[in-house]
Amino acid sequence: MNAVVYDNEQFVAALKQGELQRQSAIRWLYEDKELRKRVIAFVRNNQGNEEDGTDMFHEGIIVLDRNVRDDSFRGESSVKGYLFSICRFLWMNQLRKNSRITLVEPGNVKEEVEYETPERHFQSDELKTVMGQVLDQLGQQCRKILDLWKLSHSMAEIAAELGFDNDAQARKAKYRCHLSLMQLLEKNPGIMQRLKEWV
Amino acid sequence: MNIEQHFERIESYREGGLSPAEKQSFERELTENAELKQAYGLYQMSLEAIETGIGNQLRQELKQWEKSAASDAAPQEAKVVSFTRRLVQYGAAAAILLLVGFFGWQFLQKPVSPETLYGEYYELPSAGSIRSVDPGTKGAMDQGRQAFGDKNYAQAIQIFSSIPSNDPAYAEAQYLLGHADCQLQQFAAARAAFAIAAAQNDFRIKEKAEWYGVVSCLRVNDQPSGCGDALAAISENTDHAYHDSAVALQKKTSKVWGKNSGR
Repeated sequence: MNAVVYDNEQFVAALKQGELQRQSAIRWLYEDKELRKRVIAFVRNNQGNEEDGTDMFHEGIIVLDRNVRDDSFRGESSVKGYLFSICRFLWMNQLRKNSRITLVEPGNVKEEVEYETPERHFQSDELKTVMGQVLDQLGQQCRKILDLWKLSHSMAEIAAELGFDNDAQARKAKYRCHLSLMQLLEKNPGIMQRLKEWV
Repeated sequence: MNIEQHFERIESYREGGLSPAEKQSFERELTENAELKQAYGLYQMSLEAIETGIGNQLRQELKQWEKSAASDAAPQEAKVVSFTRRLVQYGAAAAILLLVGFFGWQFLQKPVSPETLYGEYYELPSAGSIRSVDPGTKGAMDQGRQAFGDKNYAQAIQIFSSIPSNDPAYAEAQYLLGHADCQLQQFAAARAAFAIAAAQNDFRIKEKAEWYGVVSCLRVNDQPSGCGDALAAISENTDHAYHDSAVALQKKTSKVWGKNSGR
């Protein structure tokens, strides 16, 4: 059981700090039974079942984690309100895909709607799959280095975590790994096609 | 495309490390230089890929928490229906058996140090195997192989480190770099080099680099995370060239690397 209670500022800071703080903050959200029930109820009221609701709750946490770390969450509502609006948005997207878009809102939903745009970091399933395949080719050590770097760990922390002798070695390994990843992406026709659309 | 040529500048730009003038010049060049623009796009894609990995990992953790919560709830219900005096008796007997088993096992187990295991599983590539896997490559790679064959490992490290990632022999260079690092007891660097060699997906190098990445882990100070997982991945892959060795090593490392290696 997570005894810590976070306000917006503390939550944002925790997600951007080390792995333990980030995990503890995510756990705090995950363990909010009331919020989970509301997400599941929303999904169930809109042609989904409990399992869909749990999935949306999880996916919402994943999107929120990234949006917060990338400063897309501006703190205009509570973190939990923001999570609910992300889950709601995700399920609406799902319904749109399945062409079942008659949405039933809970009575108090207007109070909960987050006016920021949670869709910022939604990737298509297809792109996620291709990215996953590329990552599988990268090797665990490199993935770990790049994950820690992206999660704002310092080179000294990465060196300590992965057993490098010093931060210069960790920096060098990160450089090599990042280049390898870009080279793997470059070799992937699906990625290059997507890239042409981007640039 | 030569990504290396643009990498540091792109990263400095992304991380706010350029002066205002440099930033302006970079942004202007982005609109004019097609290669830089593509490299920049690839860099952004790489960040997306890393985030995909972070998201996948978090998804797994959430599922794990879900499973734990479900299994925590289950035994409590079972306890209500099966709590009898006989259960207490069975429980006591089972506890005694467990204790006897545990101490017996402890007694029979001879602790094996990571150093000993490393000595058992590490093999220096033979002179015959340190020949070009890409016969067309000349120059630095040949010099590196020569230095390695002459046991001049410091020089070999220097040469192999200079092989650029777009060289066809890059995977082999990183693989031999890992072995040269092992010879100089630089095990963390060795592990990193083997990981990079494996990541190149050169089928001639990949599996042995994965294996020696695990073996070099045995000598890295404080046993870094991921070693057990890497070993488990090899032992679970029955087609892997080092599958049998990995299964054997996994049994011996359960004390060193905990549950991952014992999976």
